[in-house]
Amino acid sequence: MTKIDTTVSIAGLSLKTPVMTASGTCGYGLELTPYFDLSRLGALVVKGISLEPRPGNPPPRIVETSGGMLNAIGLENIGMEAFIAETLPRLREYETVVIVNILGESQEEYGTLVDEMSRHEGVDGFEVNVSCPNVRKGGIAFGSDPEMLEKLVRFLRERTEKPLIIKLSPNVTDIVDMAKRAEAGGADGLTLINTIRGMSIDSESRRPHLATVVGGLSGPAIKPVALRMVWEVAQQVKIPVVGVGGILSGEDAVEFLIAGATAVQVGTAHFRNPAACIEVMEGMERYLERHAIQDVRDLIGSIQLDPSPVA
Amino acid sequence: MPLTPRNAHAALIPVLSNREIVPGIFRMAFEAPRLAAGAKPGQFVMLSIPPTHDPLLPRPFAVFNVDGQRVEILYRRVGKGTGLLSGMRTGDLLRVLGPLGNGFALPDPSVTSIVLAGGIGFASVHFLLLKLLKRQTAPTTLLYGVRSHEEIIPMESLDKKGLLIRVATEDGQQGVKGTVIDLLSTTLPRTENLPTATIESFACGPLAMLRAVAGRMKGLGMRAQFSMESRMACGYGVCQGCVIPFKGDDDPKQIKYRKVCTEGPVFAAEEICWDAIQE
Repeated sequence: MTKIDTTVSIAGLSLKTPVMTASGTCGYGLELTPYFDLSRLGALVVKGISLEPRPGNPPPRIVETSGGMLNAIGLENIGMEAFIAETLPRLREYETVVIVNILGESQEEYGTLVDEMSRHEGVDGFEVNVSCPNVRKGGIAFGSDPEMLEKLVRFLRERTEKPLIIKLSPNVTDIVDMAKRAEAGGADGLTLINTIRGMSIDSESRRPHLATVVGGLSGPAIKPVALRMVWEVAQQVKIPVVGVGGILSGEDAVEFLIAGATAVQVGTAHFRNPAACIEVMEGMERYLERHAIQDVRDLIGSIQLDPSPVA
Repeated sequence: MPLTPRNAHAALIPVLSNREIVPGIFRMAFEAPRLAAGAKPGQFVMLSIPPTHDPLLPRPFAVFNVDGQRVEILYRRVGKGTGLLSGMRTGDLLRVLGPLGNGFALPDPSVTSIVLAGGIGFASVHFLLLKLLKRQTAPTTLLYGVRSHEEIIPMESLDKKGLLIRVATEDGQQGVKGTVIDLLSTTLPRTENLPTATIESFACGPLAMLRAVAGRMKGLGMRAQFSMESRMACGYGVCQGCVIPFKGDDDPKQIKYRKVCTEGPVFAAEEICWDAIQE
């Protein structure tokens, strides 16, 4: 039997497998090195980097819910300077694509992040977290206002040749519109979905479980929502979609590919097992073998629908 | 950026035994040669039960004892996770990640040790006590407080070699009626003639207890290492969910957060910003 081809191309980046890590669930990547070789990954997406270090939110920051968890970490990170000086050189020791997730509170902050980091070897592309509030525009999240999103993407497109992947927030009325706006602004790819806003209350004390009251839901509980959004968006845009949300197994990853994703990210599963993305990767490969699929790309968008599906 | 200990690893490991030693509290042993070889007092493991996704996240447990290739934990059955754990039998497989965390810093053998344990917090100091009893030339005292005398963990392994054990129960059925703090109040005067540099304290227990102990120790200028608990998702530094507040490096009024999993779970009590921790 010939070797299965698992390579995919995202935003001009050739990935040896469609399986990446999801931002915010694998730190800066180095934390995973005791457990597996980072070079096996399709891509490493590091946790969101801001211009200045961020201390994050007060605890409690997490709580487990049915089939998932809520988090309100508050985008704690070491900031761009420390990332470039301390983390990036160490990541370059691994033969994996490094995608830097970036976040800002103004268009200018995103711009500076892209300007600075585009100059550094070892940054292969950007994933733009647009779930942050725009402090200049009354705190409306970039990812929840179609015009603001398109303007931000266009602004960043003019500043970098490197791949720009926009990580969309699911907390919007029309995800397809947001996806089209990002594409129109010049995005090379889309990641969906970020966490879904949710909350949890302790009925005994009547207190919220999170210090910030509201947090982001992740894990298997959100997989059906993520799949639906990937499926809807993939049909409407020409740029590749990266699917993320509750992937625990190879079959979960395959579902996203069938729905139209070109690649997938493994997130919350890493909290169960540091090598979760390798388990997903191997599970996906076993699936391909079992179904005698020679090329993983044959799965992308291969959903089987009845001739006239009921909407 | 603190990383996971170099010897940490994830593995499926068979349960050797799992016994309810006092009502609601279980002692579980599993065979884990690599873990046994690397674990230090105060470190912990993350346990999950494959293949269930409910609970989704693993749970942290202190290393209670290491005996050859066996590693033991002590846990109270409280929720779904520990409920499932309590039903595990010999030969069942657990997913174990560890050893994790920094562990206690062992003092010079000439240092007098006061070890404080509240309730199930005893699980975190038992392995430390065994090490101290082996190493220390100066005396070691255990101050152990529980709500009810029924919860007192049998201590055959410790009932020897000069360990002074003082017990407090809130029901007054055994030892002193009261808490660990009451034991501390009557123990400290006995150390008055010792320079504070020759005494070290170690503690694990409920937040209210640790807060009170920290206050006492600060007043005396005595070194105190506390093993802290926090809600945790990953246990190895990536989720950043388990932070607790500390006084800032430059400005003590500023708060900075540190991860209990990789920067702790053992911290110097005086560095913790107790005012900023919710009950």
